[in-house]
Amino acid sequence: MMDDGRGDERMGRRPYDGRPAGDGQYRRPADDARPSFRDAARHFEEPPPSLDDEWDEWLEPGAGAQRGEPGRTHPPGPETQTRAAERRRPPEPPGRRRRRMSAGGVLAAMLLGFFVAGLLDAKAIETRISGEPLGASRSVALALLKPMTLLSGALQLDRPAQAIDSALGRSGGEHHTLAQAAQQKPLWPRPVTYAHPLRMYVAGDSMAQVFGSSLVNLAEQTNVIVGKLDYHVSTGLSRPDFFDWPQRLVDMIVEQKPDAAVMLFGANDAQSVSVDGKVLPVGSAGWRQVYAQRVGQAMDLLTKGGRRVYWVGNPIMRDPLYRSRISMMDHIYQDEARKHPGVTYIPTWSLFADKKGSYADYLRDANGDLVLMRASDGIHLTRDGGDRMAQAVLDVIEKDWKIPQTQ
Amino acid sequence: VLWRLVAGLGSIGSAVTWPIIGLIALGIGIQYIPEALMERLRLGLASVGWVGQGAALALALFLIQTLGPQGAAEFLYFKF
Repeated sequence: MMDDGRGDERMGRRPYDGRPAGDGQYRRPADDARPSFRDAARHFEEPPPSLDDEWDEWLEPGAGAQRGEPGRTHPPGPETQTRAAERRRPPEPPGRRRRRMSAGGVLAAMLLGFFVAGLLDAKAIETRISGEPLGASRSVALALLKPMTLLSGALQLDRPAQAIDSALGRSGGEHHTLAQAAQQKPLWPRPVTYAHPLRMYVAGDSMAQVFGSSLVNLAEQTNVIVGKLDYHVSTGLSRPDFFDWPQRLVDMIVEQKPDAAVMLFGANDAQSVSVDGKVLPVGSAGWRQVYAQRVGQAMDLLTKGGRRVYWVGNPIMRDPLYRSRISMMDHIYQDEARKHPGVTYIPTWSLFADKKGSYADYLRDANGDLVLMRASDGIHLTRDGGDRMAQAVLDVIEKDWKIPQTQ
Repeated sequence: VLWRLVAGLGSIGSAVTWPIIGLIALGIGIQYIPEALMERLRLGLASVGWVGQGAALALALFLIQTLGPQGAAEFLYFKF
């Protein structure tokens, strides 16, 4: 049966026109609230309000109505926002609908991604694992990685990483010889001026990162010192198979021509060393002998030609076992420095100890304020800690080179 | 401070280098990529299947690993 729009009149009711009845007669709310067919059709013809319109209406109720827009009395909920976002999204081109991938497909894509990324970066992964302390886990990891490294090399998938490292200047470049390093003859003592500044080379492991940057910053404020920071995390003198510091020092002496060198090592050296295939446990008599030889070799390298060397001792550490090993290494540095003219050992142990001589994260600064000096690992320094150590080292350098004190 | 940032450009060693400036510019520029283009890229990635998505993941991981700083980011600490 067709609707002629007069069904309400036949039923004895006023046709619904969207206005209140106004005749004073009581009507059930459902009578007026029930939308008619025409009303529903009008709803579909009107363009839906945008999300911005809905927010405007919520923020300023009635403002939209003054502009002839439908009003709202509540903020758009999540459902409204989702619908609005769907309306705003550009229509997807036919034939290019977003496909849902199965869980297996996602897993396969992830595994493939990790595997190929591993192949592309196999050399770097191998280098990182090689730097781990000698032991079963390192050996197993290297054995598992071996086929991957071979496959990466065979397919030449290691070339992109090499190219990027080369472009970023991380490939190490050309190496120099000890004879070239010996040709450098830095003069000491000599006047240090703005025109002829003291060229200072700062090297070490991750401990040298914050300390070294603080030292370079403070030193360059004198305007008569220029610094070069060269730190390599996870390195040390225990493991030349991971990072060859003697070769690095030779290269830097030739390239940077430093007048003075500041060294800070030891944080990664509390580990066993391998000599002629034999592993020497850390702290053993053999280990101490080998480590002292390596420290002495580095000092020989650096002092060749008359260069001044400032060997910085490590600060007190939080962990008792690690602290005892660091203390042992500090004594080795001190002993070797005594044997090498031109090397000054600068202890920093007590700089980071409290009044009782114990480890403390917070220490008082020059103003008497408690300042956090150590990182959460109880090993590394905060910026304030780095500044404290750097000032102590700079004081020695300034005195040695007769530079007016900065503090 | 602002003047030092400008005056020191090119002479502040390893702190602010041209690659760093380029990366900052790239980061800002990415914000202006039209939404429609990004949607097309998303649709394109969705249509390549698990092999293509795995390759894209590998490339992203490789670039993050290779281009990232060695150790803590020096830029955060140095010269400021």
